Amino acid sequence: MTRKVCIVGGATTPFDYGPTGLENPEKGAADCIKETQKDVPEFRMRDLDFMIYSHFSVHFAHQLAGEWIMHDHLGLCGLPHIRIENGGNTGGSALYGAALAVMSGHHDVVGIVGWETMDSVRQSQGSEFIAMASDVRYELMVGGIYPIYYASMANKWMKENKVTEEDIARISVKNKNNAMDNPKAQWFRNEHRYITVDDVMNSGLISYPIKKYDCCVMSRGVAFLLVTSEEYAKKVAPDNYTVIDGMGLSSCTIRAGDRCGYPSWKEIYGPGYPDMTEFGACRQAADLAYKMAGIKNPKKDISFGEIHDAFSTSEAQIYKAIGIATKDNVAKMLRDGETTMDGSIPMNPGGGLIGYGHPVGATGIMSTIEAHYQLAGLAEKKHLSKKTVVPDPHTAIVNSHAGTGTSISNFIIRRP
Amino acid sequence: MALRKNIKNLRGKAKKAAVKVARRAAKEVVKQAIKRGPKAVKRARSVSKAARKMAFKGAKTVGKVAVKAAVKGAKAVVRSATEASAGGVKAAGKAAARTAARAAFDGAKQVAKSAVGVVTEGAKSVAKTAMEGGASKHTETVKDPKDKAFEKGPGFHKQTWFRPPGVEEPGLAFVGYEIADNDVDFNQFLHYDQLYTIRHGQNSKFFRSLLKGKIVGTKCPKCGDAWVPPRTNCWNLDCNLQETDWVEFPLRAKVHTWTVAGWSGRSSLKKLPFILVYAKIEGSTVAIANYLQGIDPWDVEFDMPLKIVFVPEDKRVGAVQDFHFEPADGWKPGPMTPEKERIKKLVEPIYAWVKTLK
Repeated sequence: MTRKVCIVGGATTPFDYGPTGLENPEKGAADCIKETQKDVPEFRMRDLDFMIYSHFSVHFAHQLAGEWIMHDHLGLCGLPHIRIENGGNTGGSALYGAALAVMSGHHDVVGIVGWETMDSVRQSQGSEFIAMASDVRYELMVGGIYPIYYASMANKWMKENKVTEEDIARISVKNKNNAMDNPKAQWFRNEHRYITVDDVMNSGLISYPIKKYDCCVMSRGVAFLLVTSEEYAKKVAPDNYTVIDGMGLSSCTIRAGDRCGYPSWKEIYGPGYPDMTEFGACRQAADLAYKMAGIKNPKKDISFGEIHDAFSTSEAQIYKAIGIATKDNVAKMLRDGETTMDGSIPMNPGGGLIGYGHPVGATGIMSTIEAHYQLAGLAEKKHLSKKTVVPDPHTAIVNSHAGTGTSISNFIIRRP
Repeated sequence: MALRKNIKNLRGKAKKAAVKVARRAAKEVVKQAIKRGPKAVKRARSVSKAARKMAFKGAKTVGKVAVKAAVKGAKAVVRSATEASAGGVKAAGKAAARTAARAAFDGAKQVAKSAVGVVTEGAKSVAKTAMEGGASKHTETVKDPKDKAFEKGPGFHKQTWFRPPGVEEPGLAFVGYEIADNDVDFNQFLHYDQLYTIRHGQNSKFFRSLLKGKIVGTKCPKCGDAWVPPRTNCWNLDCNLQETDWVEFPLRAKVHTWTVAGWSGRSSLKKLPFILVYAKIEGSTVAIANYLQGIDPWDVEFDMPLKIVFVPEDKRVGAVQDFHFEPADGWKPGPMTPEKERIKKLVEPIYAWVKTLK
């Protein structure tokens, strides 16, 4: 019998793009831990028995094994530590690793520190660094950046699902405007304004149908999450811990074009799927998580989600992959604002990657923290108003997403 | 009076001497520059790397010779001035020497400048041709490639380079810093660059074929799935990592999906706006990404037939940018639609912006 895995607390530094004067990552990790201790005063550094570092790119870090700096700085020498890297799904994969560690019974109190320092090179160089997670041999020199790959997939998907540019723009509007209620969000700290669908439509072409405001931003940021056994959670945070009731991790091809006719997908979901439009790994990761958590009807059983909106188009594609939308109703769902704060299933109340920011290694951790805050009743304290507090939530989905849909994890987190 | 005249004379002589030395140096240097420069330039055109090396060496030599000559001249002047200055004319002598030295240095500077000018021009022209995509590629023979004592590798004796000048590998170096207006925060600039060897091993045939203007991929002899880009082993678990066969594909394809890019990585900004398609090459199970050229960005369509077009042989680099897609012969774009109008409107500012790029 496996053990229950609980989330006791966590925090992020502000997500931002330098210069901020807050750039030191190991100090950021310490700040996050101290903020966590404010919410959970009984949690002490000595309680930790395993550390997982969630960090994507040594190109951005100009440092190999940067986790060694973190770990040593936190005074934790002698404690086992590893780093987990899995592209944009680095945070979700680190959480997956931490959950396995607790589930197995081998560890009780696991700390995850995630971070990225993407402002250490020019933005156009940064885009090329990220593009090195595409297949450098066959793709890098044609197209060259991720938004182009995502736009190709989204363009076909939108036509097949009768979703328009305006429908998609609503997602950016929602996430950026949610971020206006979150003082740690990059949109709040930088542009700092409420926007409309027209603003997105006029925001300049990145790759059709994706415009500038359909994209997340490059960020610097650190996040800390405390993943523990039920026994420890009950001891230090009896009133505000949450439980990981389901989790799934799945994988797909690195080159999106290779998704056509992939044999294992034919076996799992039948011929013609996922083509270049659907996120097969997302669907499967959700199916696995739902099965574990006993979720039959995701749209009804889930209160809200924090999902990987690297592009507004991918958020819409994810709705379908996690089963809260279908080909027939996804466009209507967007027009009806069902995933806004007033809708039946709010998505990215924390601002998502488009609003909060996307320092890759910290991103999945940030999503989990935001979901935990909502479920543990801390969102009101952390956000600026009740506008972005989900009313009486019981179940959250957290989604972390990599490559062109190459690695995806989904988690179901609930109140105990 | 006589002394003053003497000094004046001396000053004039010193000046003359210095200028003469400098001129001679200049002449010598210019001769060298002309001798070396054009040669370097000429060679540079065909052999970019070697040319750069030579040109820089030339510049160095030229500069060195010029400065050496000038210094020698100046020194001589100073010496004679100092000698002549004995007996109360030291100050005047020194002044003469200074003037002479300045003249000499000026001469040397001019010489160095013109020499560097010649060389730089050569290097620049090399840069231009190399940047234009392999036009100045050249092949070098490696004399003694390292190999193992026991399990011999394939051995690489021939290298072809089309590396733009200015791409250096200086290794890790701190090259600057900045201090914030608040007089607290401090940032450092670390330069970090390296040359990778992408060793293609068993995938080599695909890249070799690009150089020949052919598309090859692989095919599983068991299940018949076929791939461009190639896979050395079948992806079908029932085929149990079956080793695949190389097959040549026709230069025909069909658009699977597309996008029109208005922003890109540093290396392709100047190509904007461009159409990127994922297309299935006839016979391939999968789609491959590449540019679609030869039409306006808004005219691209799903399922449109394509042909594969290679760049001229002397410009091929053995990578996927050696080919691109174009509409198949006889294909005509459909009439304007609201979507096409929208794309046209979106790309308008991109055309204007790209024109401003250097």
